[in-house]
Amino acid sequence: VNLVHLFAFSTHPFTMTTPTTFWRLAGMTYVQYVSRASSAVRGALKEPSKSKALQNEKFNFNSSVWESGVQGKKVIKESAI
Amino acid sequence: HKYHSRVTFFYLRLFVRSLFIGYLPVHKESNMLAFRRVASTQRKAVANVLARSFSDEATNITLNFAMPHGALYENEEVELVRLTSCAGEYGVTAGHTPNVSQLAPGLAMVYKNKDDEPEKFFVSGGFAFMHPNSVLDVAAVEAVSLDDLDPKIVEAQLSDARAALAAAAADSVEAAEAQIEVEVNTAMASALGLSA
Repeated sequence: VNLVHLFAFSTHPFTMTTPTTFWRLAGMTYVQYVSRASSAVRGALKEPSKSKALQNEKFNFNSSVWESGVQGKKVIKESAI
Repeated sequence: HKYHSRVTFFYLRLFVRSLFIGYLPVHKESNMLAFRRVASTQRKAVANVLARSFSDEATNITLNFAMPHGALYENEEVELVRLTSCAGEYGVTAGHTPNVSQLAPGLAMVYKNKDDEPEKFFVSGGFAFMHPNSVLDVAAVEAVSLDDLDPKIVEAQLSDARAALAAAAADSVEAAEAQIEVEVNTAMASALGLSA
């Protein structure tokens, strides 16, 4: 059995054989996990620190899907703030 | 004469071999000394590192405590830093073994002097790197001082998160998200001294 092919077509980011964190098992990456934890901390702040800290949650980026070597339509993704 | 030519040829071979003896790699005395010289410099390097680890000269660590959006401490000389890692709480002083640790949601305390009151920060997560030259880099995603945390919001978030965790299906993404909230709010509540 070619394990490389098995892994390449698996949608899971890693094999589930090793014991690991609950967020990894749920399909989250470390960055996603720590971003959620940081959101929880920022939500618990008092004003005025809270509105200043919520600026850290802003994001703004372009994304496009490439298919067969052709770039698709660009989509701007922005945070709600 | 045949016998004479064999004898002379034998002595000729001996003579030719004697010409090459000085250039062939053999276990000569000088080679062994070179090996011992290299080994002793390596031993001296190890001894230097050990001496630095156990020396009394450096009493402070140089602390760099930063977040993506700014630094709390930059090249600050402090005596003790207490951190909360996924493997448990630990304190760092000068000469600590170099290591990398993943920070868990919890308190980080900076003691300028060991006898003074520390500056307390609640860290949401990140990594701490201790270097051999007593430099400590703490890379936190969010580190807030305890005075900035609102206990009422923490309690409300904690009860909401517990309810969400109970309601979510096991091993689902919602359960994982709720569990993150429960863990972080529990850590904040204990840092603020709130009960249960």
